[in-house]
Amino acid sequence: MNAAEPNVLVKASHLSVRYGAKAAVDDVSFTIPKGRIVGLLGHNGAGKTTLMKAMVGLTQGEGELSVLGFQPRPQRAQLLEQACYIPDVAILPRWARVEDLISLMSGIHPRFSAERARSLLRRTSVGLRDKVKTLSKGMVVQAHLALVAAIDAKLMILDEPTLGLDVLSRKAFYEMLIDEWCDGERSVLISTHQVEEIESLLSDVLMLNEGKLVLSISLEDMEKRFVGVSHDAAVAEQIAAAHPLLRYRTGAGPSGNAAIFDGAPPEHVQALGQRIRPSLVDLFVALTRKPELDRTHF
Amino acid sequence: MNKLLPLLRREWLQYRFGWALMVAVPLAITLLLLAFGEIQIGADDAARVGDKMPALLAVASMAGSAAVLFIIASFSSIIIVAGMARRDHSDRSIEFWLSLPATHSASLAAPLIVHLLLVPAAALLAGMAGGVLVSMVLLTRVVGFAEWFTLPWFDLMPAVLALAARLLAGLPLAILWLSPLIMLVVLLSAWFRSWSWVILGVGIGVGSQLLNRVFGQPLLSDVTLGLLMQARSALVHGGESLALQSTAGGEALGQVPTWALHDLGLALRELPSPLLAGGLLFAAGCFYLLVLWRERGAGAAG
Amino acid sequence: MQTWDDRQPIYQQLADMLAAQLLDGDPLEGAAMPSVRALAGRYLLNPLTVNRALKALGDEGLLENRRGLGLFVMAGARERLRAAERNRFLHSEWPRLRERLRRLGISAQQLNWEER
Repeated sequence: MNAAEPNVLVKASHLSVRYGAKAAVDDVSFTIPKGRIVGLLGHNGAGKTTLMKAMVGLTQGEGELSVLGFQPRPQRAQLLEQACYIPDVAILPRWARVEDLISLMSGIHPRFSAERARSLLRRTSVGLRDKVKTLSKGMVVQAHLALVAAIDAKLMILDEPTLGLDVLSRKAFYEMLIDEWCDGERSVLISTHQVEEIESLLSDVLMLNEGKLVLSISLEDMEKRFVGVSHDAAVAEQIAAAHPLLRYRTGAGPSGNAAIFDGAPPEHVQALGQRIRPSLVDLFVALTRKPELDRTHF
Repeated sequence: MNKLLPLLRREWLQYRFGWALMVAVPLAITLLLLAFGEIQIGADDAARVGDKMPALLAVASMAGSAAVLFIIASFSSIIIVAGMARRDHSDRSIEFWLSLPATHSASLAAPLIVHLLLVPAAALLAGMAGGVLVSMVLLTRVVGFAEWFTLPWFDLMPAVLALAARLLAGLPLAILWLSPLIMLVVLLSAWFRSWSWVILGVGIGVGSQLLNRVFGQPLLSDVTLGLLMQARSALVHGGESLALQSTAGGEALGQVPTWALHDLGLALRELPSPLLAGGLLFAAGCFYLLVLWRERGAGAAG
Repeated sequence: MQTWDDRQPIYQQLADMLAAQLLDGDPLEGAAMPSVRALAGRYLLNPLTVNRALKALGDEGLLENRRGLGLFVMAGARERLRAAERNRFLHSEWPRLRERLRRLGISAQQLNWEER
């Protein structure tokens, strides 16, 4: 643990990861304190996976990066004992039985609890003696999540963990996340496409766009900073004149228009409509869309 | 390196079924052939060894079974090791392994240790044990069950154990000699998968021919042949002397332990040599490159 | 899964939901509130959000923190809530409703007060 900041689990400072000339992660700085669930949002290719890989030492970047007090690249094995990482899709070895994996992880992971893994698996439809290759994709993901959740880690880094899960399984995963992981000491970094679903679970959000960090904020501050105004089509011109981040439709009919402002718009603009809470999805679109798509959104 | 043990266990969990078949099937076939097939022993040979024949047959069964399983296991191991670098790529589980807190060198060393050393050794011992069964069937068919039952096992076992011990001791030495070739194949397989064997074979074959004929530089062929010969010697240095003794008569059995010890000594004496030192250095270099390759993501996507 | 509207911050919506339940007597006055974790799991919310909601209820005097035991519903919370609801109705909802009735031309006698 970083002695200077004991409550900070991850600290990145001007971190860049380049592949050749292209910067997959471009001059990114953020901190992750303990007890948070941080959503990492971004389009495909925005750099989410690269950032996560850098955090677990699987790729090298420039700049400063400290995870749980470790330098990820040289101290990868030690770091992974205290953190756990699920890379992209379900990637459990197909030849293994679930109980084989439990026995393997017991040996390799000092903080893995076989008993916990077994009890978590009991909640799923995955049997201990099942071979991975006979499981459906959703069941493999459930098994992998159960295995990783049995690790007593301070930091969980999940790259699209709910990909391939149906609604019920996703719900079960979110419940498990809250039950097991929200004790105020651990943090979770989770990247996902299901922004709407996960918004209520998050405490903080990091938004990447083409490698750059366009937003790093807690949800609480987000509510204070970004103002949404829902208005009639009649006042659309005036709203647009105040330069909102994004204008969009919330529903059919002339009253289904809305705009998001960064910072409170002038009083007279706010009076044109009703104040609403901008959703994370809309904010995400607002901050990561390409300029040329501006016209088509409205 | 306390992570090494669970990684060794991974090999067991992944291949135990195949290994069981690898041991059981040849033994089963041998037993069936012996039980129901034709067995011919030349009259001259029989006369020469006389009443020592049952003992020799017993020893031959055990040694033979051990040798056969040893060779089969070595082949399968070399095939597995050759594909090692890309092993977990087809089901993408390489990303799973990379997400575990095991060092790259431990993850690479574990399969090498298991497949190159532990598996052939275990196959050897399994062959010996199975060979007891083989000897029973063989002797029963040739001279009758009673003869097998009344064999002087106490006198036979030293010879058998000595042979096994010689091979077991020679195995790590042989691996040391072959290490540059093996590590080169593993390194090549990181990019060329199963073509690595072909590339190595063609590369050395064509390369050495080219160097010999065109440049008059026999280094490559000399080195390769030297390594291969030394590896064979590490296992059995002076096979001819043993053969000579066995034709002389049954007393040979008693000489086997001494021969084994002497032979091992000869093999050990070959070790301090520039050829081995260079080979080990080269192998270490290949291993280091593999660690670097795995560090860079082992060629996994993303 | 619970959907939250875009009118108010989520913590406020949760606070309102919990207040409505309090009004119905769930939980009763003097009884313990469900733990933050239980609520977080029930509504699939971050515990920090649940904390904010509970704090909001505490600020309104509906909940009290008993050291070491957790949050409990204060005595008189239901009455306080009902009073606040009554107030809100009388001062914002009722005038609108009365305006609407006038526009429709419905008189007080036409309102069927006795019907359940």
